[in-house]
Amino acid sequence: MDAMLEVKQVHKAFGKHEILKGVDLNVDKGDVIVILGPSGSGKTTLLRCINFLERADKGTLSLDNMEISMKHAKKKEITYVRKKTSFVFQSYYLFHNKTALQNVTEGLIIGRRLPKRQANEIGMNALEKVGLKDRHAYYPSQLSGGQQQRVGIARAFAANPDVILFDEPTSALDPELVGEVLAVMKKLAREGTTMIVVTHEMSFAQSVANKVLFMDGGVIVESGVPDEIFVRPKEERTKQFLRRIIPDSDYVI
Amino acid sequence: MSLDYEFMKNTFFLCLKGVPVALNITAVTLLISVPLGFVIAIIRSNKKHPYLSKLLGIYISYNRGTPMIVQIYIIYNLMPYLIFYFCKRLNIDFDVYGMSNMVYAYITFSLCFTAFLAEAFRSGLGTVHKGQYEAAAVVGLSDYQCYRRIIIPQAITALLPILCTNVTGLIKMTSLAFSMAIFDITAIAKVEASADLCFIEAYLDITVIYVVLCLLVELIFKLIEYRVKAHRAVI
Repeated sequence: MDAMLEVKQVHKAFGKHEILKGVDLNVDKGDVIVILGPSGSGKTTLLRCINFLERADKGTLSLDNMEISMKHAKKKEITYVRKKTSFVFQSYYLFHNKTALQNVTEGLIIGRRLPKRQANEIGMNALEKVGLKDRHAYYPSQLSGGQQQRVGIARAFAANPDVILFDEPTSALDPELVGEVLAVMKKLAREGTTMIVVTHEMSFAQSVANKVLFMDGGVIVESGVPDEIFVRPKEERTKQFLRRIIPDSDYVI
Repeated sequence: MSLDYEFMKNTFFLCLKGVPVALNITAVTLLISVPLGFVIAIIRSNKKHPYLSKLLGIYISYNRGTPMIVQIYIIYNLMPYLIFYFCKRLNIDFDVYGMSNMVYAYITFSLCFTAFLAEAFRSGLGTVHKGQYEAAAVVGLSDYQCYRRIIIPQAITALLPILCTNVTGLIKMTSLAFSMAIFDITAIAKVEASADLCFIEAYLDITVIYVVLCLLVELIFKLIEYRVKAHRAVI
């Protein structure tokens, strides 16, 4: 079977600083892919290039059998990709002037032209799934970080995308709020949502992912099922990284 | 020294006749400058049009860097020649010298005020985090929809006080219209004062008029601010 989303040979430089040096990525339907790696390794840039928040210098993206040049993508192609993917930001980026429900429905009503009633129904269901139905009329400033990120996730999957991209969804949260967001993500994963997750949450990677990629220096150093990567890493760089990270995660209950 | 109260009273009511003129110039200038200023601010605050941004930057620097009165002199003296020249070239039968002075006032004040507003709006747009643009793009909003529904509503909270200052500034700026032979508040006061040699009385009169006008503008903006914030939680 063809991969649902495939990116090939992504290159991206900011000025003279090369961030991505030829990254390939295959995503099948139902995959939960976790991308690990030290900061500056290009994980976030890769996600942002997939959604065209950054314009890659080179590379192709195929989504549902449509192949797009990542450097020369036209407006229509970008719209197509954004319709089939969703993005969850590290700092949530909820619309400050919209309530939780409006945040979820804005893209449905304005972007996708769904009737308001239908959008509201989808929105309420999405909020119920992340446990925030009773907060639908709250503005982002009235919600905690964890709640805001859950609204962010509701906004992402309400659009019924083929794949959701998570960019360090728990990194901006207080430690005690991380759990509620991870719980929602686990729930989505169990329901078969296709996800690409950049995270430092090793326990999430170990228990939920079906594929783990380790990135460093703009390339994918190693990839495999979680057990392979965590228990028997082959590459020295992966071992070094895990040694630094894993003892830490033992302190986090 | 004693003030001529009788003169003061009469002149006050005479000067009030200049208020519609001042408000007329203010209103037309706002109608032209607000949309134009927004467009310029948006062009200058994103990086999509580097050359146009530079060009607009020069335009803004010119308006910020020259006294209003100099701009008035330049346009008031240059514009008739330009219009006359173009009309002749294009064979349009148009009586340049019959054109109302108000038209010159609209042009001068709009040109200047658009530049001021463009900078005010740019600072307002700058208060909105770039993540808001990204989130809007990701959920499928077009650039126009993003500005219309997400960015401008958020920027407006930060922008209203600056806009208020600018509008009161514009009302006071209209006092320079007398140099284009327009009979506004200041011009009437000046004429009356020189006729009776009661300068202090006349200028005290128009001080009151300008203060009251600007207080009214402040009040209007307070009400707008209240309304904008009433249906939105504090950010």
